[in-house]
Amino acid sequence: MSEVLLEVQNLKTYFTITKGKVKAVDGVSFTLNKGESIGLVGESGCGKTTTALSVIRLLPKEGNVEGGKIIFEGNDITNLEEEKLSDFRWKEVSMIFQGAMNALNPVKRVCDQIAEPILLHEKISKTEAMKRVKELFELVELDTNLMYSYPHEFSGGMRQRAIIAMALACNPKLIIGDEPTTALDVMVQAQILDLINDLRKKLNMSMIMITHDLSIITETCDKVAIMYAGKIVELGETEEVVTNSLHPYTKMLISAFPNIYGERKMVDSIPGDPPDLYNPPEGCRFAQRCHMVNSKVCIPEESPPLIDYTGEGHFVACHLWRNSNV
Amino acid sequence: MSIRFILNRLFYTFIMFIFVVTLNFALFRLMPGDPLTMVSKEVASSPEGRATLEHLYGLDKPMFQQYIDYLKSMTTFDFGISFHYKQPVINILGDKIKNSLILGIAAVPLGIAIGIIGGIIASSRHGKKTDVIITTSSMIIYAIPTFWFAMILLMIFGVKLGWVPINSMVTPGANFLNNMEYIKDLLHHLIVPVISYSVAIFGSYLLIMRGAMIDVFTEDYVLTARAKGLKEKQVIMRHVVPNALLPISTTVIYSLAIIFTGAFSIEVLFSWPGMGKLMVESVNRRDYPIMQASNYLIAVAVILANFIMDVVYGYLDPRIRIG
Ligand SMILES: Nc1ncnc2c1ncn2[C@@H]1O[C@H](COP(=O)(O)OP(=O)(O)OP(=O)(O)O)[C@@H](O)[C@H]1O
Ligand SMILES: [Mg+2]
Repeated sequence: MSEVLLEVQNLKTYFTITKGKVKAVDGVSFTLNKGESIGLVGESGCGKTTTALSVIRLLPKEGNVEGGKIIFEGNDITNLEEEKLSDFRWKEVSMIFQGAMNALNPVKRVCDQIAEPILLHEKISKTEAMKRVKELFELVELDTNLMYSYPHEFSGGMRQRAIIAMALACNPKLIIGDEPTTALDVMVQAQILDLINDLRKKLNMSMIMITHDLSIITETCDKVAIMYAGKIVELGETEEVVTNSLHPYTKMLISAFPNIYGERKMVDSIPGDPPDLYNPPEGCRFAQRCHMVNSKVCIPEESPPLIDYTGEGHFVACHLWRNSNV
Repeated sequence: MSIRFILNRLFYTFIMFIFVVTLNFALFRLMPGDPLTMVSKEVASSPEGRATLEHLYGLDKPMFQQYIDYLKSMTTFDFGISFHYKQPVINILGDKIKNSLILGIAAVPLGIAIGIIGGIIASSRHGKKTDVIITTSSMIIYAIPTFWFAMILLMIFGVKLGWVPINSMVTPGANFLNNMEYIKDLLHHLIVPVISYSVAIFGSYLLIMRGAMIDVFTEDYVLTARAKGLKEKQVIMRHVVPNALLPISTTVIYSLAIIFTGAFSIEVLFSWPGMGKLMVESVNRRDYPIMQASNYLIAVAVILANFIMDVVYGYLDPRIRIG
């Protein structure tokens, strides 16, 4: 089988706020092979961005990894010191941030911003770096004459291409896309997704794609992890999870996301709100919103573990499936 | 930057200039107080004497003619004769401007630099002890009236310790053997005024810079810069500072452009013979030609500063450059 690139083991990332701790990520585990892509899906506030920031070790100062491990290419990077982090970032893992339309500095030329990480991580001259920038522009199908422009001279789609070029600049082994297309209109969104997909395959890079739109995942990801309130509730091959979804939350997500055959409903049409992560309920965090809750099997004080239901890598964390399996 | 942009700015600058000159012309004719009595009480008390004076200063001509004459003299820097000094205004001003420049060029850039650097340091330690100390102390200093602070300095270093002279630019009546001696004496006199002046102004720059930096720190491109693996120092110097300088640059250019107009309280307090002191004195003496000329020069300075500000800002911010 293929090599493991990233292993996230029981990751717990908490934010310390004045009144206590926000358990934004609370026991998340998944593995990602080289060249593989995984999607993180879930409602707003379920901890997707926090998971990604933990991986690239770029949490805001109130955020801390308080448990678990992040293993990248066999090395535990959970406590990597600042010095080594500078070498790790962008060279090994690059990230396209949420709302990335502003990821370009308005007072710097686009080419300089793309060349910046190259010059930082590799011992090459400015001219060589610029040559690379030119190649990157070609790769993302941008007009190379625009290299020396400033970001405001680019349209939204062009800027996003430039940002992708920037993310690819140092040939990272992993790219994280945090809702890389939400700011774009549907047509451009499709183009950008295709571009990311093609390039990723061409360059054999792994990817973590964050979104609340399941349809994006089905187009771009080999695997998918459904997150709910800081935990993964279902994990498996995209195809398998979408067609044979097990967790009631996943089912609701699938029936809620816009479908060309069915009636158009949105993700947030799932009734109720996710729990407050400052003081999450004991046991199953989805129980209050779950229409399949069964008082006989859904033990209130016990959190359902993530178990391989099929024995072939389709994981689910739900009392219902856990008990019907044994 | 396009020529069109500059021409456009120049046009507005010109309009503003005409407006200000007209206002300056009207203002001094509407002001209370009788300027002729200030020239000479005796002469102005008799009707014939008044008429002579009015003729001498051109006040007997029709308003419009006066306006045209005024425009002409303003553009040729012919500001007439000072009532008080009985000398051409331009000669007096030239000297005072030079003195204000000496003080301002030593103090203003210093104050600005302290403010900007302090703002960078405070903001990069946002919320930490260093930030709290820097910000509160500069706010307190900023809130203290300039003359009060200057007076304290003067009292300690001038009166109590006797380290520095307490007033004027050079030791009065001193004969300097050579330029070096003169410069040494001048520098000695400069110390406390420069400190007071820069302390008086640095606080506002510090607070503006700090605020601008804190805003920029939350931008996505800063997060991206960190993700690229840049060290925090590089992130600050390459990405945060250039963007935070944009809002403050206009204030800086403006302050630099109007240095020659002097600083009122500092100059008065230290008997520094500059424009600020001259203006205060001229108001008391009703020395209209001087008041009018200084007003005019300040207005022109402000207008020019605005023009430079627009052009430089356009250069700094690429988003405006094409405009
Ligand atoms: N700096 C912070 N301080 C305190 N709490 C935070 C901070 N950042 C995020 N959180 C909390 O952590 C939880 C997870 O946030 P996160 O941004 O990871 O969610 P997300 O899944 O990315 O949501 P979205 O889809 O809206 O981007 C949320 O409840 C959020 O309120
Ligand atoms: Mg997010």
